[in-house]
Amino acid sequence: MSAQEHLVQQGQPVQQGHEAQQAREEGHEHPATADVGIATFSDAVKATFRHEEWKYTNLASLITTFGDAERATKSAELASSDHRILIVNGIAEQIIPEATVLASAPAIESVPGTASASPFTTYVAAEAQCIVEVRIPKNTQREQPIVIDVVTNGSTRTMIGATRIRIIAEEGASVVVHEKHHGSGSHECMDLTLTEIVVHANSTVQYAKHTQLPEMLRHIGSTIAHVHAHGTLHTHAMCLGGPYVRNDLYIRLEESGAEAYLNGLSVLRGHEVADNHTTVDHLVPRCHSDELYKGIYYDASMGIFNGKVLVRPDAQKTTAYQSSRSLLLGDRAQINAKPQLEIWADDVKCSHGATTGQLDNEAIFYLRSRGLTLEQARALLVDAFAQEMYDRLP
Amino acid sequence: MKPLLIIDQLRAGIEGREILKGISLTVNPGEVHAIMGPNGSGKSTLASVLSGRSEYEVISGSVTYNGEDLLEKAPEERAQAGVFQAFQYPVEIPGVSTANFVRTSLNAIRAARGEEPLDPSAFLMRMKERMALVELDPSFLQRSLNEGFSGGEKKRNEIFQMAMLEPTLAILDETDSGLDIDALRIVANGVNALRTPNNAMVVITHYQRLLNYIVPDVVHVLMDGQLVLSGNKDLALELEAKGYDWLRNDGVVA
Repeated sequence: MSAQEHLVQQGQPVQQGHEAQQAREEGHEHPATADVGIATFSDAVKATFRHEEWKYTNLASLITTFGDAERATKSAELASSDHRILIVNGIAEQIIPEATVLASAPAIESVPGTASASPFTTYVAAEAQCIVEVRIPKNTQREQPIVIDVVTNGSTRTMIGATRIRIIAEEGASVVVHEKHHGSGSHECMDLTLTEIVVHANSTVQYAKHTQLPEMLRHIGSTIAHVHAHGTLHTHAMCLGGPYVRNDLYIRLEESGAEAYLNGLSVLRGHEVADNHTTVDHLVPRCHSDELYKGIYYDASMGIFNGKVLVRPDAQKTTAYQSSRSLLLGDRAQINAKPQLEIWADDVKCSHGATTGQLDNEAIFYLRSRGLTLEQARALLVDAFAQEMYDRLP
Repeated sequence: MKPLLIIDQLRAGIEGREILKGISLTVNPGEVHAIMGPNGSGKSTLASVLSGRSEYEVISGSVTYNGEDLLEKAPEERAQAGVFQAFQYPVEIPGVSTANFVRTSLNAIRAARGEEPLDPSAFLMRMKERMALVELDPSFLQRSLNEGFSGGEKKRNEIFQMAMLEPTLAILDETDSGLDIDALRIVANGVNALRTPNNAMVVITHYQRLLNYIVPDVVHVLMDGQLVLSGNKDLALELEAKGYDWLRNDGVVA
């Protein structure tokens, strides 16, 4: 087990991640999206070519597979439910009392190097057929979790679903949202989703994104969150399978006292890929963020964790912690973990650490000497490793 | 009476270094054997070989348990056959609760013997009863195995597991190390309550004081990889009074 822990507690900009730094020096940041016409999915893919942030994605195959994929256009009949929202191929089919379906929404401000600047964010923001907005009124504690089922259905032909969701917790409100991605049909499908979250003052949002995708479905999703004074956001990226899952998460801590807790668990087999890019942006003083991403990689699966923490010059008294831990259980499994801390303020407490390893042999021996077979011992330890993240789910 | 454990001319070591240089020992059902010895005498090597640690290699000799070759068995097969080792340094396993671990362990052993899993209420009753034996609070059941336990709590947890698994042969490796006098008494009381005419124990220890509480039938002295002297419980007292050097000075050991 190799471990690397650093405590950073000083004022000079700290830039972790050699390649990213190089990319910045060479001016390969995401182009400002306003300058690029992204009218089709292929445009979005082309805009990521040769970009550091997309180095693990097989972009050419995306264009080959989805270049002439269909988009759903017909408005579905809208049903209602108490707690479940259903979106099929980007079209809302069922909503809840707190939700509305909008034709347009405010533009996304593009911040280079974050999910907000992803070409796929731009594409979905411009091209989504409808926008589902959930608004939890002021001081309302919603007891029942909201489930948003995002379904991409390729039963007749290759489909791209472009889904846009907005979750707004007004002042003092609290809500739990589970965003679950599914697929059906025999044709290749692409699920593109843009989720915006606004956590107003003193409100709490717990947002869990679940991807457990069939073989025919790939997912590229962006989540952009704004957290205001003394608001708290918990995110959970549960990547439990699928040929390709890309999660771009960008959290802006915009007013003092804002807190963000970022959690992730990837459990992958075969040749599955889960590509998690997170950015926590500390813009103002006295905000807190804490991030833990874990991964369990079997066979020839691949995990990517790219975790940026930005502490802007004004963001004194920031506390920001980040950790990623991986278990490599397959001979050809791999994890690419890259923490990137960029700190411009001088009175902050930040730390990051990344560990990658196999199961602890001492623990395996102890369990075997109590009668568990090698397979049982391994399974118990893997479960224990993952359990922490399940325990954190709302 | 058929012996439970026969160690015959066992030579073993690690990384090409011979540590055990021909040990022979016979343990009958109902007996408690103490193996005492100074640091570096081979006590922990003996415990490791008996528990099946793969990094130790057996050079020659044999270990027969219940008429079967113990050294051929994987660690879990030894446990399934009724051998239990209380470890000197029990491993901390975050994320696995003590209750879940003990249930998995007990049912794995029962399954290997073709027995049904214990039903949940019988299991719970048995856990509470056996925890009381070593004065462990039931709140430990929900805590991660050994994580954040004190030294004494870890050792009591080992004896609790032994009580749950009801082994035929228990090997206690330095179970007294790091225990204060109260914890020592609790651990020893637990062990004594588990003694039956059908099972046996091998107590490996540096100090005599544990043997005030767990009274052995036979005491063996291990020095430089060999059992140099055996006697009754009074031998332990004599060792305590005179020190291990007494054996060297008296010419018992070269």
